[in-house]
Amino acid sequence: MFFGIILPLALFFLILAGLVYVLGEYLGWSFRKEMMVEEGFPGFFDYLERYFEKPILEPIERLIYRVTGIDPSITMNWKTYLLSALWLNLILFVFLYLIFLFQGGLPLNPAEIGNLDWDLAFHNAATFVSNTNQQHYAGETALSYFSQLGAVLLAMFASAATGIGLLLGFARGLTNEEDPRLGNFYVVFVKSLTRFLLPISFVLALFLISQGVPQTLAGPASVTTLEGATQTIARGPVATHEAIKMFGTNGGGFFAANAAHPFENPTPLSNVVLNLFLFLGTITNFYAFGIWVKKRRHGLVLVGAVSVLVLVFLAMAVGGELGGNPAFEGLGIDQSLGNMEGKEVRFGATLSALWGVSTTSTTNGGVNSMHDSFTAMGGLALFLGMSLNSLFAGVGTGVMNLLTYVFLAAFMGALMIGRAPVYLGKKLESDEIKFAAMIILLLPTLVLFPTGIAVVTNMGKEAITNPEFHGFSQVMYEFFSAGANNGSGLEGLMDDTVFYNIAGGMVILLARYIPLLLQMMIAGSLAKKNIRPETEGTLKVENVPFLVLLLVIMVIIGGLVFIPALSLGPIAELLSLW
Amino acid sequence: MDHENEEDKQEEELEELPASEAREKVGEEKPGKGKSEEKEVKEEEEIEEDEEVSYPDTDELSISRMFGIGLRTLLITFLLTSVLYVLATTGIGNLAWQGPAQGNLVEHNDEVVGSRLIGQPFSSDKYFHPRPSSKNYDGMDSGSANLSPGNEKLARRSTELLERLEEEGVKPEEVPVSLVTESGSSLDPHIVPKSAYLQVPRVSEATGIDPERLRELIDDNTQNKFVGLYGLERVNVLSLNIEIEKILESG
Repeated sequence: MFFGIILPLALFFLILAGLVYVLGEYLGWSFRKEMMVEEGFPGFFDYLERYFEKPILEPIERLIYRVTGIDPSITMNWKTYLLSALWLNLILFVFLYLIFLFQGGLPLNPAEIGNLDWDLAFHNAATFVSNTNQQHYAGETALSYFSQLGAVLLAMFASAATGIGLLLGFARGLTNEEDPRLGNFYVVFVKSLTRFLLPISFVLALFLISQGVPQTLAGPASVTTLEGATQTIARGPVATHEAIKMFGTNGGGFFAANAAHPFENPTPLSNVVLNLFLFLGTITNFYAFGIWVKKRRHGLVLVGAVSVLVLVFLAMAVGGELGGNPAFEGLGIDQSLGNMEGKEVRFGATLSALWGVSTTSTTNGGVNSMHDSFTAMGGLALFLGMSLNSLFAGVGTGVMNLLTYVFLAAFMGALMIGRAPVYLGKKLESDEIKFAAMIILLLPTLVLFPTGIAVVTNMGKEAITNPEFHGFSQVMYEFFSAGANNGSGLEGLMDDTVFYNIAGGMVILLARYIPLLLQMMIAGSLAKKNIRPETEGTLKVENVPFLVLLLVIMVIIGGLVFIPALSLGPIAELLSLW
Repeated sequence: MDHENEEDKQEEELEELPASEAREKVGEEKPGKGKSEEKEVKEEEEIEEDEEVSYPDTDELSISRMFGIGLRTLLITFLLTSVLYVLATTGIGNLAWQGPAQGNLVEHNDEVVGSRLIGQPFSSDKYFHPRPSSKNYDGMDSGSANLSPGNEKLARRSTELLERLEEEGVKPEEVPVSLVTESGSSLDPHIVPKSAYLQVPRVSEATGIDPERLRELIDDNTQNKFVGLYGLERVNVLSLNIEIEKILESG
């Protein structure tokens, strides 16, 4: 128990905390000029400024501005800021759609893979442009190398950079004083690539190659086995893909089996490192957010509140998966390894449960084991993570999503002590709370309505492959994953149909862009307000009581709405099998 | 509208500076807001007829300009990620770790017989067998059958596999659950050591190799957990079977 479960997991989170500190400070420092926070960074960054930023990064960035026509002196209000991001995303969407539609005739296609159907191409373009990465295809046989590199990889970087871009604008809205200027979206977009996403992905990709992840443009390898049979082995430029897939909270696998595939995740060490970077892409944003609003402890309170929930879900999942499958009890076999269906021997049940919870507590959605084969208790933990809009959520969007709950917590907390609701000195008024409530109501709407339609129609039901309650879970999980922009799936669902491609694609797009619109409206509204000085009576957002308040608000407002639906799926399965 | 004129002048002055510095300047000129500022605003409101507070100007971009910049920014991103990042990683990766970068292909007698990371559907009695695979270890496919714990197909498949093992004289309680369940990739190259030990009698009978020798081979090919904490103890089936092939060939 101690050496098998607690020690490895405790060590994992200890290392994670250390890395969050280092990379969080780095991210905060990278955008110190945009956020006008120049002090309080560790001394190490002076060297970084002198030997890396000034001689290398800044000339590169200036060159990029010149080539693209970005004018760094331009400052945008929330509308221009948001529109810049939306236009960029729209162009990307069309670009992806066309590549998927015509990949058969494009270069870098050694396996001679054909074009995608229009509906799958639509779903693919929607899912990658929005950082969701829900996949209705098998990467080995459905995408050419050009699609993988020119479309998927590009979108993985661009969607994460879009997230950071909008987050910076949002943070400016909170720190500005009667000043609607949120900065320049394009500048932040470029800098998030050159400073954060690209260099770290590059190092991670090299590490992955050393562990055995292929990185080649050669086509599939054909071998003759010892038994004389022929085995054709798909490979490709996997390491570059895998690095940004995890770090950018994307999660779309190069291969169908995602990070369960030995070529995506070959060793326990690669698994632990990828799992760390799965978290780092988004938790660092929370840490840096604390720096930017000049309340480091507030960033930690946000991370702490979510971590409590993650640990609860982790305990559920590890307990469920190590508990084994009751259906096997009659066989009399040795179940001490737990539930190993859909799990790799090199990871085992504990690391698979850890990954499962990690990937649904963020919008990553990559998997290292098959969630469809999780026990009912483990499966429930996965659902719960997504029902709270994926908790840590994605690069950039994670902080904005959690702040929706924070606004409500600050609002209700202030009302409880009889004060005017204020967050970071900004008065919260009806507009902000209205928009926040709309964001929170959007998820249940986007998840439960399509699920309802799917389970009463043949086009929805035909895709189900597992019996009874679990079959319902398969459909519901599909829309949970789309609505939370997560991207994982109960992959038994035969979801490459016109219905699931179109419905899923629509849910994904609405779930990504409606909240972004509302969040930027909140930012625009807050930017124009003055900052009230903190007094004795101000609700503190940097202490444990606020952490508890936030937790309660998240669970009651965000989570409870899903309990009836979850009762029909994993909870019913739990009661009937266990 | 004095106030606005002042703002304009300020903007003109700042235009030549990079945006970040300009913002700093503005920031510096507006220190320590508080109640006094609120009063100022109120006073202004009273003086000026329109009740709007005047804010610093923002720049508007036309749609065609946003389209142009967006397109060029994406093209640069394409160049940075899809081209430079991939080429640099591929180049360095293949120089430093050529075998892994090409897929960890394994040779035996100068012929490529597989990848160390991708399982194979060994079924001959003289070789160790891997875990079951609904894709029959097809390297061009991956992902399991996604059976839920309560699915009858799962119970049926595991029961059939167990019956086959029992015919070889294996007792059910010796069988680890991983040997009758499919992996997530259905390409799992590993089995746990227990799964290998229970195959020793069959392999020994088919090859004539001493059971003790086989157990030593298994131990030699067992990889421990990472730092003793992460993952499971495991045996690479292909590596083990290549060792057996070597013994058989050397007579």
